[in-house]
Amino acid sequence: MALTVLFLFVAAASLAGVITGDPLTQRLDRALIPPFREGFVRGTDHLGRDLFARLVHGARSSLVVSVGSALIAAVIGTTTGILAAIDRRGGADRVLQLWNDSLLAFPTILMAIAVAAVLEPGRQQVMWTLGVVFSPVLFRVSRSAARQVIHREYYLVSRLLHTPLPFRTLLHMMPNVLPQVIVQSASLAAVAIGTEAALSFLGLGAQPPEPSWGLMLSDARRYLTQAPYLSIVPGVAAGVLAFSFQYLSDRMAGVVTALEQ
Amino acid sequence: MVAHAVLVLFLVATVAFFILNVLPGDPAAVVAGIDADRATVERVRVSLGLDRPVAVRYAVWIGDLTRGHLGTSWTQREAVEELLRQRMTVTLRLAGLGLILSILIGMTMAFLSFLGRFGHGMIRFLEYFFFAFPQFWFALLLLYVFSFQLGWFPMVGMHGRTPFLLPALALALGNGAIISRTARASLREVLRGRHVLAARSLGIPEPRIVLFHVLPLAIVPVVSVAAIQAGYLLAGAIVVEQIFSLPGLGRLTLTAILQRDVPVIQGAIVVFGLAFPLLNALADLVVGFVQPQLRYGRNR
Repeated sequence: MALTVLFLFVAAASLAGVITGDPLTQRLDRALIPPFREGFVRGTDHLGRDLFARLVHGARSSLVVSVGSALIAAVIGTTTGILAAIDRRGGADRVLQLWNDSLLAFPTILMAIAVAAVLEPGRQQVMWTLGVVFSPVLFRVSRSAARQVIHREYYLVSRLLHTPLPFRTLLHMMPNVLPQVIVQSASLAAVAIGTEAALSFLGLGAQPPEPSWGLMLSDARRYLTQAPYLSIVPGVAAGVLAFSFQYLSDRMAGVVTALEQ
Repeated sequence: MVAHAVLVLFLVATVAFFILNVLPGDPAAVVAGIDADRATVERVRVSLGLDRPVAVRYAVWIGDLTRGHLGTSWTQREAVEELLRQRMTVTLRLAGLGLILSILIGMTMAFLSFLGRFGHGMIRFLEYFFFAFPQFWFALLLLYVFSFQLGWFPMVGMHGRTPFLLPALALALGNGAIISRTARASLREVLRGRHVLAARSLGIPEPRIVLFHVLPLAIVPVVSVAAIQAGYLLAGAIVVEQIFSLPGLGRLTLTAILQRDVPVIQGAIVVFGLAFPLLNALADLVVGFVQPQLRYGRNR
């Protein structure tokens, strides 16, 4: 189920240019038409822009940011997490833990707001900020997973055989750390969707006239009483996408625990 | 614990300072305005103290902080701590009500999930729904239904008797889902315990068992999760305040960002950053109250 929904979103987003019209063309003579009405089935916003086209192009933006930030977090978190786990003297471990704990002390959205305050707001910046802010979660996950691997027999054997450290890490550690990282990353992607939408809504993410769900909602807020569908539709899209990511993550978590036992 | 809090405060203050002062961009130019010529920008730079080296500014910032001073706003010419204090009440009331509502919603959902298979499935779906859909989207929805269609609440601002109820509810749904998830797992664990079996076999009425023998044990993880969530409620308030036009910390921070009012942004970050360890300490106290054997320093 969740996979089908995700696949639909990805397909729609990657084929956005083919299946819909231009999301930026304005036609004021047909503004604020609700969807499924005669004349213009796909609905329009307050500037007469194609609602469906904006929705699909917004999916692209949302997917890029959510998957991108989860990937960035996974790369940073897994690398530092494994480093902290195999650090035998414990110095690097302590520094990395302190860094990640302080990063965790900030609510995600506040951190993103702080960065948006300094850099020019935009989609790229949101993606990188979320990636860095999410990395402590994956640091913790991969560190504890890696620490368990260290005490397994096969890892001890590979140490006794003097397998070079990079090989040992890649071949024996990664396969045991990665599943849990993937589970958590999917969940982070779900959080990223909501956060990205919120930031764009506040004007700190995607900038107009870019089609983004958060921006669509922020435009829609002014027309809440006349055109409630403008507020409902992008929120449902974001919600369903985040729902699928979270559901997928939970299902994968179930599989991973089952495999480990 | 105090030493830890001081360390966190110091780290938060340092991170806030460096994010806002070392990353590229010229705040003096922004404050002076787009049309300002170079001489004006330079004058603004001197008047804001930005002509001094970063190290000196950092020392001043930390030094002021130890005396409880967070600097002076660039746009409003007022002490930052004063500005924060004025707006804090709104945000605290909003987040506080949000916390109470989210615990109520979460615990109700958790209990309902034990009423049969259908209830369980329904609650699990609701949890996903509340968690996945954006918080501010619920805010818009509630605003439309209750303020516009039903006319029960004011559309915007601090009018009426209950200006906080709707925004707090919007905040509480997502957190309620997380609390419900934790509470469900914890209740299931405790209900399996032998003391529950013993209580049942003694013929103690079920409500009494749940209230006195299950809840005090099951509440422990819920309290720690609620404390973490309380911090996120504060952050979520930033967005929700914007939708309901409430004059809180979120509005202050956002305006400060748009005006590049760095001292105010720094101050807000410090306040939010400090809220987390404080809330965690508070959670430890509450857990200690409910479960005396878990107090620090006992049985260890």
